[in-house]
Parts: sequence; C-alpha cells; structure tokens
Amino acid sequence: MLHLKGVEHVYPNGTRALDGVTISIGKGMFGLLGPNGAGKSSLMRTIATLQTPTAGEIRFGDIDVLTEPGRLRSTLGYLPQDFGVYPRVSAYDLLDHMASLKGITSAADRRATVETLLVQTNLWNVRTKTVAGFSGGMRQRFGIAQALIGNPKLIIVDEPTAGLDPEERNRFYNLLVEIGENIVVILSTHIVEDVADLCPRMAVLAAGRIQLDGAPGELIQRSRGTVWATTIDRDRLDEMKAAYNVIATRLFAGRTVVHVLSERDPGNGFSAVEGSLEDVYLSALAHSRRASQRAA
Amino acid sequence: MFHTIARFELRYQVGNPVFWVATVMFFLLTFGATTAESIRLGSGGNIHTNAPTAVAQIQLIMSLFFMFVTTAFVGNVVVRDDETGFGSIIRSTRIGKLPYMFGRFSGAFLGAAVAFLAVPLAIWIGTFMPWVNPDFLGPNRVQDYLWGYFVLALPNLLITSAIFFAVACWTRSVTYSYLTVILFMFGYFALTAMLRKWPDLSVAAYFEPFGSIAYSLGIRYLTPIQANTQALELNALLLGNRLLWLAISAAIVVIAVWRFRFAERGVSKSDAKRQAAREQKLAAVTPVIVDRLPANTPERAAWHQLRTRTLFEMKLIFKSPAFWVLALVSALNLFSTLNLAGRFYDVPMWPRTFAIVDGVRGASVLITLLMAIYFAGEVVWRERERRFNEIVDATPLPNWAFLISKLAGVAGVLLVLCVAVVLLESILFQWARGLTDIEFGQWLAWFVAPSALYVIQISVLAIVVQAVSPNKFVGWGIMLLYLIAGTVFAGMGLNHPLLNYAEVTVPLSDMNGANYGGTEGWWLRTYWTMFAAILVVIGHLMWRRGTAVTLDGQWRTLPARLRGKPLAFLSSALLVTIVMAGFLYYNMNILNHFVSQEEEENRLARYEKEYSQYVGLPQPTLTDIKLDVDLQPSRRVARFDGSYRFVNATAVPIETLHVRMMIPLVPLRSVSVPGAKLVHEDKVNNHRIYQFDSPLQPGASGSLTFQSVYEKRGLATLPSDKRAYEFDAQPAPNGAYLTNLGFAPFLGMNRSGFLQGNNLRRKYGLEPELPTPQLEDEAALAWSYVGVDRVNTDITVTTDADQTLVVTGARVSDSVANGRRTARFVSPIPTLNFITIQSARYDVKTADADGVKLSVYYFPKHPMNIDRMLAVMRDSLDYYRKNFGPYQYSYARIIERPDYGGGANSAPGTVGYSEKAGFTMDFRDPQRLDFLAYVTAHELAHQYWFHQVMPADVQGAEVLTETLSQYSALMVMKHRYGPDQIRQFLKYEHDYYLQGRRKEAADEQPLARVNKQGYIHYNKGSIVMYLLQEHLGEERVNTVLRGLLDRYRFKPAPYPRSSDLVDGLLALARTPEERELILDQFYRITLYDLRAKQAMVRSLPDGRFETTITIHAAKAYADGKGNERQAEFNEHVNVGVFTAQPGDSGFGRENVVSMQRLPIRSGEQQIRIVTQRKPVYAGVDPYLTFIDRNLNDNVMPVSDSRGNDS
Repeated sequence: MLHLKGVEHVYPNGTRALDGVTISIGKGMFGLLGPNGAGKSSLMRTIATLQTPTAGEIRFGDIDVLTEPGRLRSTLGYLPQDFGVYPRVSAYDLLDHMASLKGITSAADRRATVETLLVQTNLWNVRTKTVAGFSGGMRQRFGIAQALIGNPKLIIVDEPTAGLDPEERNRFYNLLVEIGENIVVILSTHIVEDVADLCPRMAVLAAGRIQLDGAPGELIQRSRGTVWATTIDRDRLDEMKAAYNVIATRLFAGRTVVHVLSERDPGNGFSAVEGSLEDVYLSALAHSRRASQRAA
Repeated sequence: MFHTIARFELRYQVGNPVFWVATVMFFLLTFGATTAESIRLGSGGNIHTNAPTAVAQIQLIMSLFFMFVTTAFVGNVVVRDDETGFGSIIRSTRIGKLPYMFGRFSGAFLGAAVAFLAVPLAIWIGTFMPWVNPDFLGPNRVQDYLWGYFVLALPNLLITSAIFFAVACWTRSVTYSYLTVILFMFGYFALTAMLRKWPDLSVAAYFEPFGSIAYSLGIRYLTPIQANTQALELNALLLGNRLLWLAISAAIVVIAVWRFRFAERGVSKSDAKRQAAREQKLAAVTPVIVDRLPANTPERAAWHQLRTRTLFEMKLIFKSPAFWVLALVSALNLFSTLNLAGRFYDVPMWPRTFAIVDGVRGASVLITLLMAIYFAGEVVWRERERRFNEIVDATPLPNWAFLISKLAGVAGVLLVLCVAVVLLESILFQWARGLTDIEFGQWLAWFVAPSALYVIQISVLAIVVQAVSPNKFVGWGIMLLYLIAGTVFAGMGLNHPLLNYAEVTVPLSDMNGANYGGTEGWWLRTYWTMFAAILVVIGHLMWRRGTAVTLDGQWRTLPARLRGKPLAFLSSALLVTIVMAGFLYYNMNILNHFVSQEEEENRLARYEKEYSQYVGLPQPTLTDIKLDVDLQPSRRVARFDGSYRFVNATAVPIETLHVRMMIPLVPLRSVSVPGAKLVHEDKVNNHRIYQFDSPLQPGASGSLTFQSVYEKRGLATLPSDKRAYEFDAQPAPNGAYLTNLGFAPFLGMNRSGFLQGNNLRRKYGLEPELPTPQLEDEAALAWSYVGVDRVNTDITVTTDADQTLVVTGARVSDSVANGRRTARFVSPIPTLNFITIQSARYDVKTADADGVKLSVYYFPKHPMNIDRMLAVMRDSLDYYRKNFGPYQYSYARIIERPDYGGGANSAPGTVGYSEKAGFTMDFRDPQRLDFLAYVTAHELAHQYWFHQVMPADVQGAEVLTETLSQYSALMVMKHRYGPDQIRQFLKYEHDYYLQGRRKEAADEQPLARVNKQGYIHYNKGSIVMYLLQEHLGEERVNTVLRGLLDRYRFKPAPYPRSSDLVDGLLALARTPEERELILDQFYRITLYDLRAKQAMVRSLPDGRFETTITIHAAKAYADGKGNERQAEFNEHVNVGVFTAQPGDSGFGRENVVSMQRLPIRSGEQQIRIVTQRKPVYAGVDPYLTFIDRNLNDNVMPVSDSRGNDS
C-alpha cells in the first residue's frame, strides 16, 4: 500500500534527518522502532505531507503523495507525537470542528461521527470538558478519535504512549488494534514492547536509515544464536566493553548482566540467550552505531 | 532573608531582557520627544526644553506610560514561579510568605526605578545635542531632575507597581495583568477627562492617582519666565496627593500579600454539588452510535470548511478575555467620545449623525487598529503556539482556506464590534439624547459601509503581515511601524491619498451631505480594497503549512506556486489597482492640482521674494463692484462676470495697477482695464500688472472687468490643510458659500497672504514678519486694520430655482424663470469689501425688531435654536441702538452653511454660522451658559465695532473690534440672564486668558497694545471691560463708546486706535484710584490675588448676625515674559455674604444676603458685616471681576464662632 523510495530529508541547518529511506508497508499495524533522534518523527511528518522530502518518492496506493498531498490528506488520520489543543473548547466541539475540517459536511454525519468516536474512546462522559484540561491519556484518546474521523485508509501515530500509565496505554492499544485490521497503521515508538505486542510487521530506524524490517517473530528467529549473556561484577564492565560487542547491560541483584553480539560462542562464561525483540533492536542499533563510527 | 530575596530579585530583573528593552526604549522615546523641535514634549513656545516644569512634566508623562514596564517587572514576580514550576520548590523551603512576597516586590520595584532613570538621563543628554536650538535651553539644574524623579516619577512607579502586583497575585496570570493595565489606562484617561471638568479642581486632584492634576494646578498659570527659572515646590496639594496615594499603594501591597496563598485553592462544596448535577445530566444523554463511521467528502467541502473555520476563529476570539477587555474599553471610550463631542464652553450639541460620525469613526478606528493588530498575531500563530498545527495542517483543508479563514475570523469579529456594536451604541446615544429621527441612510453611507471596508482592509494588512513575519512579535512590530508611518509620511510631505493605506477622509455635512469628497472617498476605498486583494494573494502564497516550511523557502518557491488561479487572481487585482491608481493620479494631480504643504509654502516664499518690492506702491481705491454670477450648484459650477470702478484717492499719479487673486488656484479670465495694457502676467501666482497709458491722476477714476470660474473637474484630493476645506468645497450643491476672496481679484499689493510664522519664514530664507506698528505710530493711522475699501456693490446671482439666495446687500428683486432663480442685491451704503454669496434649500424665519427685519436662513432639519437666535438678535439690536447709536441696515441675517471647519463670522448685515457652531448646540439644560446668545450678540456687535468703526492697523486694533464686541455681548447677556451667567462666563474667560499667557510664544502685551493675541483681546478683554463697567458705571461707559462711534463712524483715515477708548474712559474717572484702575487694565499686565482666609459669624443680641471676614489682597505687575513685581492694592471691591455658594446651580439673587463695595488694601484685613439673615458663605469679589489666578478661594463657608469674646 505505502511505498517509500530513497526518501531523504536534510534540514536547512544541515541535519540529515532521513537518509535514503526505502520501505513498503502493507495493511495492518506496522511498528517503526527507533531511538530518540533517529528520524522517526521526520519520517512520520513526511508521510503525513507536513514536510516535503529533499529527495525520494512516496506513494500510497495510486496516490503520489508528493504531487497530490491533498488526496492523501483526504484519507489520512494523523496523531502527532506532541500536540496541544485550543483553550476553552470542549472535546465535543473540537471533534465536531475536526470532522468539518476533514470534510464531513452533513450535520447528521458529523453528529454520528463525533458521538460514536467519543463513546469508542471512552470520552463520552467528559465531552463538555475542555480538552486543554484533559489528562495525558484522555488527550491521547482524543487524539486518536480525531485521527479516525472519516475512515482514513492510512493512520499515522507518532509516539502515542509517551507519558501514559500502563492501564491507559493498554486501553489505547486496544483501540488501535481494533481499527488496524483493514487499513495501514504506522505506529512509531521507541518502546520495543509496544511493537512486540501489537505489530505483525516492523522496521528499525536509526540515523535516518531503515536498519532492518520484517515480522518480529521472524527477526527474533533470525537473531537466534548471535546473542550471548554473562553476569559480571560492575568493575569489569569496561574490560568487557573493550573485548566484546556489548549491546546491552542491565543490573540484576547488584551485579551486571551483559549481552554481547557474537556469531560464535565467545566462551569466557557467556551462555546463549533465547533472543528477544529487544535484543534484535539493540543489535540493530549497535550495527548502525558501528557503521557510523566507521564512516566517521 | 528579605534582603537576600530583594537583592536576588533586583539582579534577576536587571539581567532580564525586558529591563534593557524598556530602558533603551524609554531613553529613545524621551530623547526623541525632547530633542525633536517639532515635538518638544512638556515645553514649547518660550519654555525651555529643560525648564523645571518641562523636566518634571516629561517624567510625569513617561511615568504613566511606564506602567506597561512596571507591570512586566512586578507581574512576573509571582507568576513566573508558577509557570516554571519552581514555585512549589520555593514554597516548600523555609522561606516565609512575607519575606518572599515583600522581597520579590521590592526587588522588582527597584528594578523599575532603576530602569526609569533612563528618562531624566535622556533629557539631560538631549540638552547637549548639537542640533537642539540653544534658544530652547536653560541651565541644567540637578534639583529639577531630582524633583521630577522623586516627587512625580518614583511615587507613580510605586503606585503602579502596587496595583499590578496585586492584580498579578490575584489572577496569577501575566496576560490578565496586562489586560488590566490597558483597562486601567483607559479608565484613567476617562477619569481624568471627567475630573478636569470638576468645578473644584483642588478636590479632583486627590482622586487622580498620579498627581497630574495636582501638578498642573500648581503650574498652570506660570508664565514662561517663571516656568523656566522657578524651582518647583512641593505644595500642600501635591504633597497631600502623593502621601494619600502612597498610603493607598502600601495598603494594596499589604492586602495582596495577605490574600496570597502559597497553596492552590480546592473546590468548594457547592461547586462540587453543581458539578455532580451537571455530570448526571450529561450522562442521561444517549449518544448516536453508528457501526461504520460516515465517509468524508473533502473535495466538496471547501465552503463548509471555510465557514466552519471562520466561525471557529471568531468563537475563539469571542471567548478570549482580551476581547472582552478591549470591547469594554472601546464601549467606554466611545461613550465618552460621544458625550464630549462638540462641546464648547461645556455646551453639548445635538448628536446629529453628521456631527458625530467623525468622532465615532475615530473611536472605532482606534479600537479596530488595536484589535486587528493584536488578534492577527494571536490568530495567525494560534495553531503553532497551541501545538495543534500538525493536526490541522494534515487535514484536507484547501491551502487557500488557511489565510482566508483567519482573515474572515478577525474581520468578522471586528465587523461585529467596531461596526455593529458601535453603530448600535451611537444610535442608542442619539435616541437617549432625544434625537428621534435617526437617519439610517446617513449611518449606512457614512459609517457602516466605509467602516466595514476599513475593517476588512486593516484586517488584511494585519493578517498578511503576520503571515509573512518570522514570528508574532516581528509582525506586531511591523504593524506598529504602520501606525506611526501615517504621521511620519505626513511630516515628510507624503500625504497623497494614494499612499496612505486605507486612509480615506470625507468631510460630512447635514446640508451638503457627502457631496464634498464623497465620490473621491468611494474611489479610494475601492482602490484600497483592490490593493488589499493583492496582499491577500501574497499572504496566501506565503502561508506556511506544514512543519519544515520557512519564509525563505516559501519566498523562493513562490513563482512555482503562483501558477494557475493565484496568478489569475493576483494579476487581475494588480491590473485593477494599477489602472485605478493611474486614473486617480490623472484626476488628482493632472486634471486638478495636488499641492503638498511644502510646495505651497515654497510658492508663497518665492512670490514674496518677487513681489514684495511692490508693497506700498500708491494704488487706486475700489469704489464700485458690479457682479453677475451664474451659479449651478447641482453641476458644481459658478461663473462670475465682474466690473470694478476705482479712483485714485492718493495725492500722486498712479502708473501701474496690480491685479491679484488671493487664492491663485481660481483662474482669472479675460481681465481688461481700459486705458491700460498688460505688462506682466504670472499665471502661477495669478498676479497681473497693468501699465496705464497715461498715469491715473489724483481724483481720476478707471474701471476693470474680469471673468472667473469655479469648476470641479473629475476627482480631486482634499487640501492637506483642513482650513482650506471651506473654500475648496465650493460651490457646494446645497449650501454654497462663495466669498470674493476666492473669486474676485484684489487691486494693489500688500503683505496679506504672505507666509506667516517666523520659524517657517526663516526656513525659506525670508525676513522675520514686519512688526505691527506701535500704538504711538501716528503715520500708521492712515491704514485701516482690514485693508479693504468701502464699496458699493450690485450683485445679481442666478441659481437653481429650489434654492434660496442670500447675498451681501439688500434684496432688490427675486424671481424664478425657466427653472432658475435670479436675485439682485444692492448695498444700501458703501460697505467693507467682503462679499458673500450663499445659496441653499433654506427655510427662513423672520421677525421684526423696530423696523429691522431679522431673518434666520437655516437647514430645515436644524430648527432647534432659531427662536433663541431671533430673540437674541432683537435683544442685541435693542441694546446697541439704545446705547451705541443707529444700526446701519434695514435687515440683519443669520445664515447657516455646511460645516467645513468654519465657525461664526460677521459680514455686512450678516452673521454666518456653520452647522456645528450655533445651529446644533443643545440648550435644553437651562443651567448651561447660553453661549449661542453670547456669540450671536458678539457677531452682531461687529456691525458696530468693525463695520462702523474700523481701527487703524496698529497695536491694540483688536480692542476696538473684538474687546468691544465682547463687552457689547456681555451687556446683552447681563440684561438677558443676570450676573450669574456672567460669573460662569467670566470663570471660563479667566481660565482661557491665564492659560493663553502660558502658551504665549512672543511677549504678552498689555490689552491696549494687543497684537493679534486672542487670549488677550477676547478673554482678558471681557474681564477688563466687565470690571470697568462695574466700577465706572455701564451707562457712563456706553457714553464713551457712543462718542467713539459718532467720531469715527464710516470715516476714512485717520483711523481710531485703542488709546482713543482708554482716553475716553479716563475722562470718566472720578478719583485717582479709578484712573489707576483703568491704566492697570489697559497699559499694564496686572494680576490680582483676592482671598477670603477666614469667615466667622456670631449672633448679635438684637437677633442680627455679624460676619467677620479676613481678606487678603495683593496686586502684581508682570512684564511681557511674566516677571512680576508686587504693587500696592488699593481698590473698592465687592464683599458679600450669601446663603448659597455663588456659582452653584440654583444660586440666585435671593441668596445674596449682603453685597457692598468696600475699600480693600494690600495684605490682610478684617471686614465686619452685619446682616438680618444668617449667612453660609462669605467672600471678596465673588463675581470674579478682578483677574485672579485662583478663583476658588474668593468665597468660603462661614463658620460659627463660639462665645462672645471676639
């Protein structure tokens, strides 16, 4: 459905935010995983027609997004990473206004849209409250409600769960899963779990490039036998970092668990780890870091 | 702890950019306002730029405007901790509330106090600037600067700091604090405007927080020399004001701190209950739920989206508190504008539409500009500021809808507020003031339509400027530049209407509608609307949709995006604008003359340099004028055929004849002078010189014929000088007012019409103006004050049949034929050569006054004051004929004309009033001074004191024309209304005279030597003549005047002068004291100080009452610069006791318990008065006949004395 080819974006200050992104995304939930500053939001905004890439091609179905942004907008639902709202406007009124902006002209249609969505996002009881006074979770649900107006065929949600408590996050994801069956939903996040739980397909974006993409299970499968772990004292960490390709460390019961990437068994007390998506992600990042170090 | 916090706060404020921006801004403002010769804030005239009063005044004014800065300082003291979230950290430390709040406040206040030092510093540095004229500077004295800073500025900073600190504490919002400042500002100005009208300003002074009334009371009558040299003193009134308001501000701070809570407020029980009920109600509604959401159809939704978006923008503005604050302020401002409109001597006017539209538009324009600028910034940047831009930008809203909806939103709000609400308020005001025939047509054409277009044009500008600005503040800055650009452009001579965006002026009149300038106005409005359309296209193309779009990028890609509809739209708007500009330019500059002020001054200067050599050449005297005038008001054409007869009244042969048009724009055609040939023709200045074939011998006469035409061609600009409107508007379709100054040539050459004002003359390299000849200059008695001859006139005018003609002279015939009216007017006696021709659809009301036919020619919708005018005319003629001598005509007319800036004037047998002067004054309140009666009597008196007796052109000439007309009118008023109205009137005259002295740029002259100084010959003249008739006797004074008339009536040179009047009055003096009194009034500048210092009453055993009044008296002589020296006071003065305060409403003869003229000497003295009734007030000179700088202390309440010991 959505095809990106060689999409590049260089900001006026010289920052190369996107560096030849080529990817195809089909129907269903698609997870775009990447650390902060990887270019996720730039990519989301570029797809959402908010910025024109310096080079490249974007197609959605039969729409050439760059030459006909209007056609894409007609069928786009977009929830930006960070958004505020107008002061002194209630949820109902603002959603109604958004429905108008999205092109629902009949008052009855708008009413059906607004009320259905308010119920669906569990905001019906607070519909007369100003959105500015909403909690983070309520605001995100409002955000998804506005993104769903008019049955879009492409929905982009950028870092939607930042700052939500686990319960709110859960509720939010249930909403997404419900709608994500027949249309393209791109979920950008830096939280591996989100992708693992929701997305049948995913990609890792780092340094403005797609580092890998595929189905999470498949990627985990592929990484089997390359990730090794051992538990050491904290003071040996530097030594380990020098000797191995360390992709992650974490503390466990006061000692440090070290994950390293290796094609073979590194010995030295390491044992093979049943790979998780997190390891896949982290090793992709480690690759990208190395690549950029070599380039530098 | 307090010190630490205060010190920290001061350091914080000084490090804040606001501090530096404010300091620099106020430095530059003050520097500019004091060093620019055209501004000279606080000084001007003979008052030095760094005079003590100027230094104080500038600091006072700046300290008012500084409240915007103070608010920034104290406003964020509390709020900033809430905003940064640092508040909770601080409040959880051990710092107590008191040191925290007081420390913060003190630090912020000190910051403001330091920043304000920029103002005195700028004045001081300004005095060293090389371009400042050293004539305008005095010595710099440190104490003057300190006085202004510590007495005026610092307390004001503290007061504003306190108020806005309290507001910020209470609202915890900087925005609200700022809105309060704006509200406060308007409230303050409204309050002061009101307070200044109070009868007792010394009480009003306490209500005014910033000491400006108290301060100005202290300095208002200082003469220039006093203002320049005297160190200012902290008088009791000012000190009281300062202490009172310092106490109030201290109280405000204390209350603010006391009410301030560190913790946030919780929800009250009743609020909670109400909320629960609301929730229940909400939960009861069943939502409409669909299985599948309806699809959108954005391709067909454009108009719906635009409408929704526009209404949404409007709703957001309506919901913002700023809107309500501004709306309230504008409503108040409009009300006070309406209420004060057209008041003269505090007489209100009938709020007829034509008379108030200008004021209403002014008020609405002010608020339009403020709101458009403010909300354009808010609206254009709203999505970005609220971080909602990505969501909106990603919707299928068409690109053009972004700018258009913002524009429509702002314009829509302004249309509601600045057009609809203003209209409603104005009409309600008219209705409330008893004007029931509301003229909706006028409102529509003169206010609604022009204002609506203006609102749209200004909204476009404000929005587009924001759309092409990198941020909101730059956009606001650009709009502020636009605000001052108009003034700057005008100063640079760029006042062509095609250059000043959206500015259209149309002078309005009830009689003549918008016939003058109305068509041009609509052309210009259309032109600016098309121009606005160009701006819209640019704004649309520059609109930044999306997140990575820069101004620069938009600009670079603009040509690409221009293709298609934008290009079509832009090019058609551009084409229409250019074609219209060309058409208008052709009409205004080529068909008609567009003359900038500077060009006209240049012409006059060159004219003077070339022609002043001819001044004083012997020239013939005009004796007869015959005119045939073809007036076609509806076509705006007038043709004049004239013939002159002149005679050589000099003793020498005359070789050349100068024929000159005073207003050179009217072409003079086919002039012919039999027996002379044209030797010089100057078409630019319309000046011709003829040489007689053989010189015109003494006593010989000759003739001249001429033709001239008034014709409006195409569309013309209004003159840049409003005083020229009245001439430029002719011939008006209804209410034509043609004077021979405009259409007929003058013979001979004199200095009239030369450039006036010595500064202006210096600029063009001309000699300073010739001084008026001294009073003692006997040779000058040969020249009359007005310099025109007495002529016989015979004028025939043809006009439209439905119009009435009124022309100089007696009506000989009047007939209608072929749809045209022809009337002939012939002067019964030779009259001064002032010819007026008036034609309009008049109603006429007439009355008879012992053989004189009185008529008032008026616009049928202005009948309000006609009877009053007729009655006053009769009263005046009765008095004048009885006391002065015969009136020279068998008719006396009052004629109304459209209001194009002219006021009242007096032509032979005629008093002219413009619509606003007289005809629309509202006298329903009998307490008001009958100013109309006064002016009418004054103008009729000119039939004697100008038209009968013409003074010589020497100093003091106006004493015989204006002062005596003032006196005559005062006498008519005295007999009509009694002395109370006179007191009210004299009070105004005192004020105008004393303030006039202060503004004097040259030397103040004694009355007998007055030199075209209105405040002397009108205002002081009234007081002087009233005093003299009180002391010498009205009847005896009139005998002198009658003698003067008998001697000089209609006589040629030598002409009389003011000393003739003074000599006559001196002959009346019965005592040396009276003689000195007369000399004091006419030959010296005399100021008196009469004061009641104490008044006690006690009952006498016989049941009567004895009042003891302590009176202080002083007299001083001033020189022309205001230096005073004390003199001995020794006069008979009225001392009275009353049961009510003279000057209060309802005070009448019955309130006078006793009034006696008693000898009073310099210094203090006690006067005892025994009366039957018990007095409540007592005083000296209660009717204010002596010129006195403080009129409020002449009368005081009487207190009871205890016991019998006194």
